[in-house]
Order: sequence, then C-alpha cells, then structure tokens
Amino acid sequence: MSAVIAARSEPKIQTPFSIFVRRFRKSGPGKLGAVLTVIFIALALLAPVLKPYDASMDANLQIKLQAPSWQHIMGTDDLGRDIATRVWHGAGISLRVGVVSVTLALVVGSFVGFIAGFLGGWFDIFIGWITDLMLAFPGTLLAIGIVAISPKPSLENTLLAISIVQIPIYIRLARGAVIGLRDLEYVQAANALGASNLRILFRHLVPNALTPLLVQGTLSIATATLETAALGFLGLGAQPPTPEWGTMIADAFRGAYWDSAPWTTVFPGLAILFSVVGYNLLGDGLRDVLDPRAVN
Amino acid sequence: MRTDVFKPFRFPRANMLETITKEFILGAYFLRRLLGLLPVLLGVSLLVFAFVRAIPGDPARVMLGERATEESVKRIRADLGLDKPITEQYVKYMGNLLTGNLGTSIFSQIPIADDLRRRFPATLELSIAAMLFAVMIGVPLGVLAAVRRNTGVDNATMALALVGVSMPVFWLGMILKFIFSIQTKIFPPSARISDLLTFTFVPITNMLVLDGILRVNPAIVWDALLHLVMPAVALGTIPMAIIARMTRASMVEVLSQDYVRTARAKGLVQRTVIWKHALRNAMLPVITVIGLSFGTLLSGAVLTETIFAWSGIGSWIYEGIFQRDYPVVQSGVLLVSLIFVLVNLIVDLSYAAFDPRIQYR
Repeated sequence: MSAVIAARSEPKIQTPFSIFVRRFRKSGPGKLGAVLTVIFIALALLAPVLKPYDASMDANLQIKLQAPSWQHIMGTDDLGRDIATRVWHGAGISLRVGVVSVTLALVVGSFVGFIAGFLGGWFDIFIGWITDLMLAFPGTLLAIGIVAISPKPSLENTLLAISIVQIPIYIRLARGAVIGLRDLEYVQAANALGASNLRILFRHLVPNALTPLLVQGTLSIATATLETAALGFLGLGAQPPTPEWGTMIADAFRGAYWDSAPWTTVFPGLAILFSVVGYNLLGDGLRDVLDPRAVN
Repeated sequence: MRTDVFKPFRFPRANMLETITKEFILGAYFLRRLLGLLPVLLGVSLLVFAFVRAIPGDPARVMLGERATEESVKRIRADLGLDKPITEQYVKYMGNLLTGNLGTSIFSQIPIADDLRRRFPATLELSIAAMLFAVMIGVPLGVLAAVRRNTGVDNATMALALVGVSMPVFWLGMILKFIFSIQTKIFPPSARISDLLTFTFVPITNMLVLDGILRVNPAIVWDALLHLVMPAVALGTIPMAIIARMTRASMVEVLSQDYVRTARAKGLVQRTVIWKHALRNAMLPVITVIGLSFGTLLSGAVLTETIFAWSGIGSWIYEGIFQRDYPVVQSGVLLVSLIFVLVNLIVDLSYAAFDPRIQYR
C-alpha cells in the first residue's frame, strides 16, 4: 500500500531542477534568450558539417563585393568569399571563445575567491590587492594590454586575455558569497560535527554560493563575445582569413570597402548583436529565476 | 510668534559640534580612502611598466627601421636607457613620474606632456558628451519604463536598452557613419573639426566646443558640435542602456514604498511624485552605474576614436602599442587607470551627498 502511494506521489516531488524549469518557463526574456542561444549553438555545431562554401578559402575575385543575392544571401567580400558562410562559421569561433574564456575565468576566479573568503587573513588581503589592481584598468584596455604582450596576435591569446580580465569579477563574487555564508548556523553545525575545512568549503559553502556565479557566467559570455569582436576589430585578435566577426568588420574598414559594400559590415555586426542579445536575455532570465530577491 | 514659543530649546553649539564631528569623520574617511589608493596606484604603475616592457619588439629597432646597423640600434638603446637593468629603469621611471617628467615619445619625439595636453581634452570632451547623452536619454527612459511598468512602453524601452548593452561599439559607429555622413551627409564623417577651420583657430583648452564658446566663435562651436555628435552617441550608447536599466530597476523599487503612496495620497501631482520624491531616492544606484560606466567610456574610446579619427587618448595608446612607444603607452594607460580609480572613489564618496543615512567610520 505504502509503495503504491510512494509511486503515485513520486512525480509531484519537487527537485530543485524541476522548480528551476517551472520558473524559467514563466520568464519571457529567459525563454527568448534560450532560443537565441540554442540557435547560435546549433549554427556553430552545424558549421563544419554543412558548408555551401568554404569560409576562409573559397576566394573568387570574379564575384568580389557582390550585393546580397539568392546565391549569396549576405553578399560577398573583397575576395569574393560568401559572407553568409563566413558569418555562420564565425558563430562557432565566437561561441568557443566565449564559453572557454568564461569557464576558465569562472573556475580559476571562483576557486581563488572561495579560498580567500574562507581563509581570510593575509591571503585574503593579498588577493584583494590583486583584484583591486586588475579592476583599476578598464576591461578592454587590460585585454588589449595582455594581447599586446603576447608574441603575436591570435584567437588563442584573445581567449586568454579575455579570460584573465574577467577573473577578478569572479574572485569578488565568490569571496563575497563565501563570507556571507561562512558564519551561518548550518556551517557552524557542520564544523561542530567535526567536518574538515575542505569538506565544509566544498560540500557546504560552494554549492550555495554557485548561483550568482552562474548568472554572472552567462552575462560574461556576452561581454566576452563583444570583447573578442573588439580585439579582432583592432587587429589584435583573430587574424585574417579566420572568419571571426570583428576581424571581418576590420577587413572591410581597413580595406575601405565597407562604405561602398555595407553588407560586408552589416551582417557580421548583426551576428554579434543577436548573439550578445541572446546571452544577455538568458542571463537576465536566469537571474530572475535563481535570485528571488531580484526585482522585476 | 507662537511657533517660537513651542520650539524646543536647543543649545546652539551642540548642533555645531555635531556638524564638526560629522565632518571630521567624513574627512578622515576621505583621507583613508585616498591613502588606500596608494598601494593600488603603485601596483598599477609597476604592472604598466612590466607590461610595456613585455611587449615584444625593440623600440630602438622600430625607431630606426629594419635595415639599421646593430651599432646604431645599440646607441639608441643606450640613449633611451634601455640597456640599464630593469630595476634601475623602474626607479628612474618612477622618479621622473613623481617629478612630473613624462619623457618624450620614442616615435614622434614630441614630449609626452605636449601630446597629453592636446589629446586628453579631446577624450575628455568626447566622454563628457557621451555621458551627457547617456544620462539625458537613459534616466528618462528608465523612469518611463518604471512608471509604465509591464506595459508595451516598458517592454519597448527595455528591449531598446537590451539592444544598447549588446551593441558592438565600433559597429554602431560605422553604421552611424554610413547612415548620417556617407548616405545623408548630415554629420561630418571624422576628425574633430573641419580642416579649413584648423588653420585660423587657436584653441585654449583643446576642448573645441568650449574653446569656441570662450573665443566667442559660433562657427567653431557649431562645427565642433557637428563633429562631436556621432562619436558621442556611439560611445554613449552602452552607458545609456545600462543607466536606463538601472534607473528602471531602482525606480520600480522606490515607487512601491510607503512614502510614495503617502505623497500620492496627499494629492500631489504624479509628475511631482515621480520626479521629485521617487527619482531622488532612486538615483543612488544609478549614480554608481554612471561612475562605473566611465570605465566603459574610457575603453570604448579606443574603438570610437579609431572609427572617427578622433585624436584622443584612446587612439594614442592604440598607436603607441603598435609603434612600441613605451613612454606613450605607459603614460596613457597610467592616466586612464588613474582617472578610472579616482572616478570610482568619487562615486563612493558622493554617496554621502546623496544618502545622509550612510555613516562613515
């Protein structure tokens, strides 16, 4: 009998995940952002499989700088390459840089922040000084600086630079979260039960401090995408013929054909804009759902 | 007369003492915050110094070109002091910095101070214009969205703000340039002032709009303003969007508070309640965001100045990196981060002015 009841009531059990899903479905911006993001991920994943034209190699000077047509829906660039294909392949590059750089920053930054907040003392002070120092530079400028000292501009260095720039944000967030939780009763209880410091930190503190970090992570992908494009545009990021969006716009700008052939600039820019709007919406949605204190 | 009778007696000096104590605490707090900046600024100078030296490539080589002999490169390196040990270079550099000697540009041989006098006002002018645009559009948009919460107006405004935060600055600049100067020729495409006017006009502060006003030269003011519009809009769009979002969030919270309801119940006009009672209290987080946006402005200046050929600090640093111009990059980045740090401090301190509840100890 009791087994039957248990079986019946099972679907009604609310796991944190099911609560999350239910709340998320009510968040309009979140859903739209999720859809946009999924579209971009799908485009990025499909790019290597389906390719009407090769993104960086299919040059054909006979059809250079053609306006959008049925064959080339976004037109062609100065080497006669299909812009739609390039923009499409750019989705993968942008997504990879965004996700990898943010993940790296999130893992490293949060780890350092957790430790600093938990240990306190001189280590905390030292880390505080380092974060203050890094935050004393406007983000893009610091990224430019880091890229400038790398032997030669490349996508990998862009990724690393953008990641480093974001680390202090996560250090602060993680440190703040741990300090806020450190003195709560349940942590004291764990301590009284003889749990080791490591266990308290990773088993009791970290899981409860993750939410703001994940929300920030989604929003950071937006920033990272914009910064990748900015560095690419300045000639400090991905190099031609890589179909990176910022680099494509830079090609058009420096090649001085952007004003006579605006489609070479408009479409990569729209791609940046739409993907960043998607990440921002998704991040906003996650924040609404995960942070009950957020006002809407 | 009667009011005087009922006024509770108060020893006049007690009040004064209270003021003095408060000011003293505030002053001590200011001082401590200023002192707290020192280790950060020291670290920044060290970091910038190390960074600039880590940029691959030899400035002496860049200066003389590929075909220079080993000997002349060596001589130039000695002239620039680059052959000394790195610690000695840093000490010399800090000494020069503290005595106000910024050195000369390796590439153009122009004293850094001269370049700064010319370029810094340009960036300042651009940033101020961008910030004016951001605040004057962003705050009303945010208030509008908060007042018409959950309506079409709110959604449209916030959608606009979202697009604004997601905008690649350089792309926006190019689109603006394409529409407003290449297609319709409303605004000049680049530079700070028309070439023709540069020959006859002697600037004072190098903030050209201000100079035009000071010299009572309407033609200059108009010309400089026309040049300023597009870069300022491009640069100000992201801060505008951030400010709009923050104002909305903050206003929504304030509008739900009891004192706002009281103000309404008293029969005050909607306009007074919103702009006088609510907005004043909603501005605190907005001010934080305005201050923090300065960082975005200074970073964005590198991109905007490149697009619009605006000869400010941003394009100066950018060119400096490519030319391995150590003194230029050092001074530029130091200046930018100094401003950034100071603005953040001012934001913190301005809380006292806007929120008397905050206590400083």
